Amino acid sequence: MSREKSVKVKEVISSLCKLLSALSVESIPTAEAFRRAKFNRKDAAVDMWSLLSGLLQRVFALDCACRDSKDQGFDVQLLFVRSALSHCGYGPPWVVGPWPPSHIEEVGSRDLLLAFGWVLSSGNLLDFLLAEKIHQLDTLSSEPLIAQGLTQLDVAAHGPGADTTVKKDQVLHALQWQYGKLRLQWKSLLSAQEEKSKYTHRVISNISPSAVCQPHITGSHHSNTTSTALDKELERIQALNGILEAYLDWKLHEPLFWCWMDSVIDSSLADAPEEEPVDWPPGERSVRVRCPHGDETRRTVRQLDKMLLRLKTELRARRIEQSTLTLPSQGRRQGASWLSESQRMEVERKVSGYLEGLRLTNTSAITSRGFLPCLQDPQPTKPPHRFHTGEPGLAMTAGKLQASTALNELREREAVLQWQLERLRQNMRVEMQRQASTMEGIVLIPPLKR
Amino acid sequence: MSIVCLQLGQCGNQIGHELFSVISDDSNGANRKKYKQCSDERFFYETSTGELVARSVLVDMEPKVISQAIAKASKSGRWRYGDKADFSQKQGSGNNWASGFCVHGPRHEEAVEDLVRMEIERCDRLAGIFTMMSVAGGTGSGVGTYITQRLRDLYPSSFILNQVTWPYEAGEVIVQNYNSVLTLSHLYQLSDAILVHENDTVHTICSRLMNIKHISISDVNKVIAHQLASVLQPAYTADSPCHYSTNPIGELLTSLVCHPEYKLLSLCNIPQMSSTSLAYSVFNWPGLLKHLRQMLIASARMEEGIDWTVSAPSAVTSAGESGTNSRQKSFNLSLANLLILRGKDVSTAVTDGFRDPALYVPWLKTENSFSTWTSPVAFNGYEKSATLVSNNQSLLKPLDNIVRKAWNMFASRAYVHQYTKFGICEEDFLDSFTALEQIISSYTHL
Repeated sequence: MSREKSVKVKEVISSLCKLLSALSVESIPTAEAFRRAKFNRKDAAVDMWSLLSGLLQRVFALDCACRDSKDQGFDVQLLFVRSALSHCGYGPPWVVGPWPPSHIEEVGSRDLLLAFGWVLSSGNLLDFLLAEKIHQLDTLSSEPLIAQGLTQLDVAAHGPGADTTVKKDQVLHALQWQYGKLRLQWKSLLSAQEEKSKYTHRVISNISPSAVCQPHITGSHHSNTTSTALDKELERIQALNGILEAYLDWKLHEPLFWCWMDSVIDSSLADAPEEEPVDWPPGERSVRVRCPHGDETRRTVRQLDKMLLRLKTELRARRIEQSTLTLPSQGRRQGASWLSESQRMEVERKVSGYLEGLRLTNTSAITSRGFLPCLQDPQPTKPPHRFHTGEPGLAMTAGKLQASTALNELREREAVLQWQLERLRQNMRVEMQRQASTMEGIVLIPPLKR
Repeated sequence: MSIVCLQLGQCGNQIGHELFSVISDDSNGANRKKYKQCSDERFFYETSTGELVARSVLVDMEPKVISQAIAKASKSGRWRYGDKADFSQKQGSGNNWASGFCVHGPRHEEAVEDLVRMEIERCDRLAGIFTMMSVAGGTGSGVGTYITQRLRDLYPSSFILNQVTWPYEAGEVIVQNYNSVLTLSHLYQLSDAILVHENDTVHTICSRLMNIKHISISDVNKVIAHQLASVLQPAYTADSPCHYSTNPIGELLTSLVCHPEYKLLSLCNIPQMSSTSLAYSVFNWPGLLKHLRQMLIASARMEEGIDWTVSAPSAVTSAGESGTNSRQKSFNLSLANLLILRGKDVSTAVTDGFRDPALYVPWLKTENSFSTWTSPVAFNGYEKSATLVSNNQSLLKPLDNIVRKAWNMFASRAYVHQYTKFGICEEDFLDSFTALEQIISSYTHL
């Protein structure tokens, strides 16, 4: 089982590597390096470093003048990577800390892997690179820009009243027309080509079924006779195909990759306590992204999943119950669908009720737990910057509870309780109506509103 | 080489059915073996039992019109619709674009996409997707726009030509102008070209030219179908002068709508008359073309009541003073025209009147602006017939009317809540207005 899983992960990572190299990111490591980086092995650090800096170079290549990263020293690379990462909003100590590491090994391969994951997940990076690459290879497939900017540029260059702008406008229009024409003709040719390939396929598969399976062989025979331009075109299309296939492959595998990245984060969190350095100034410490809520979140998600499952089974049971109830008695198809519609609404209302309740209990739990211990035992004040450890405590001044704050808290709590009461009432009402509707021949009239 | 049709909503399904009827009748005339062969391949496929089945997908949110169309088609005995080529629902879109675009469209996209995909895969070569719909209602316009959007995503390099029917100005539906604005602004982004029929003009053609006393929807649709078929039936083109063209939609677009800012196409056709008077009429090419040319420059939709005083600005003044002030107000400037001649002695027809550079925008050379298709086969009972597909300013006025009326309603936020409740916000309306204003301004300042 686990072996199968590890094979799968390797496959996933290789598909990512393939895609990255297709997108012409430089120095891609092997899948093995990723695995070693997960366990924070020192030997993977160099590989991961060159991957990270390669990727960042590729992304920010347009913005920064520093091109040849290989020729530069580690210092320059480090400066670039650090600033690029903090630009992406990633802020672990080795990036934003006051003392930059002086050597690659100091960073740790896992930290590099995490940074890589961050960069990958922020803002459709791969989609952007893909679009850029495809635009390079496939110029006619995109609409011509109706260049508002261009005409304005002309106006700016020649002054608004100049006669030349009119001329230039017309030239531009004519050019756009020609470009559009070219594009339409290209589309026509594409469809003609498609037709031809369909026919060819039909002919070949009629002549000999085996020939269809070996397109490479027939292709190489032909290449002697065709022109170099066609060869180039073929190469271009093959490259395009390769990229798109790699992307597709990656998209299929992507969820697994993020699962694996989660496991990297988990292992990093598990190792964290003992290696946490003590001498970080408090300001930096708050920047460190830690998730003490991780477990809690996971628990909540699990809880929600369970709730969903329960609701679904409940719904199914009810539906069966309803169909057995209504179908033999009346046999109305419309009635059944109407009932399921109303049930759907009911379930939706219930779910939203649960969710709202969950939200409120989460917040109210904090408030209710918040002030009780203060009355009994004023704890030693926590350092204010450590809010990331959770439990935003009640505003306390030297362990005492202020009356106004308490009053506010109590009022809030009262509102919550009122709300819960109302919700329970509503649930009861709905439940009663449901039960009443199953009893035939009995009509319940709600009491008059006072 | 085949065209896949998409009949959307009530209007689209009625026009679609009429179109296939006209095509089938026309192809089954005398002395037209190759013509019929080409036309059949374009619009139908043959089953193993030799039946002709239309390459068409029928979509509506109500079952009535679709089942009528299917029943009528199979009654014709010549052709029928595919067994599983239709999609309908029990409940309509209530003339609400938002309901079609935001609710019905997304809900049924997969089913409709599958139907279209089946038709497309049946073609050896897809010449293009041709959709028919009205812009006023809910299903045709809303669902149609949504489906067009999906098809554009699925088939980015295929041609999509949208035929749209503009509502009567007097109005069938109170929110028709909203629906029109939303549809047109969206389609303009998606479609390769939008072929417009106005109900009002077609209605006048029915009453004045065809002498129909009590005009029904079916009469109007017949005229539209006749005009469409005269464009879509086989013809010799510049690219294939000896064979019927294998790329009709591609060539149509290449000659008319290369510029992404100008995508509106109008159609006019000559002659058009009732079948009783047709038997006693004789036409000659010079007369027909002279009328058609004047219809073009005076922006008339039919040969009756043409303003003969309008003339193209003479070459001297237009060369001297550049721009609009030298042009007459009523003169209708063209970007590009496609003339389709069908019938006897087409080779003798002289089309020089349409090659006059004064008819066209100065920045396009005439060889880019004007093209001709011909076919020696008489079309749909007319011994001679000329159709002009044109990318020109004539749609400015009706478009401006639609936008103005919609804006007046929008200014007081009338009925807007009917749209916002389905997820179309006021921003979307504003965007659509802006887009159409842009189109209007582009065409005004040609």
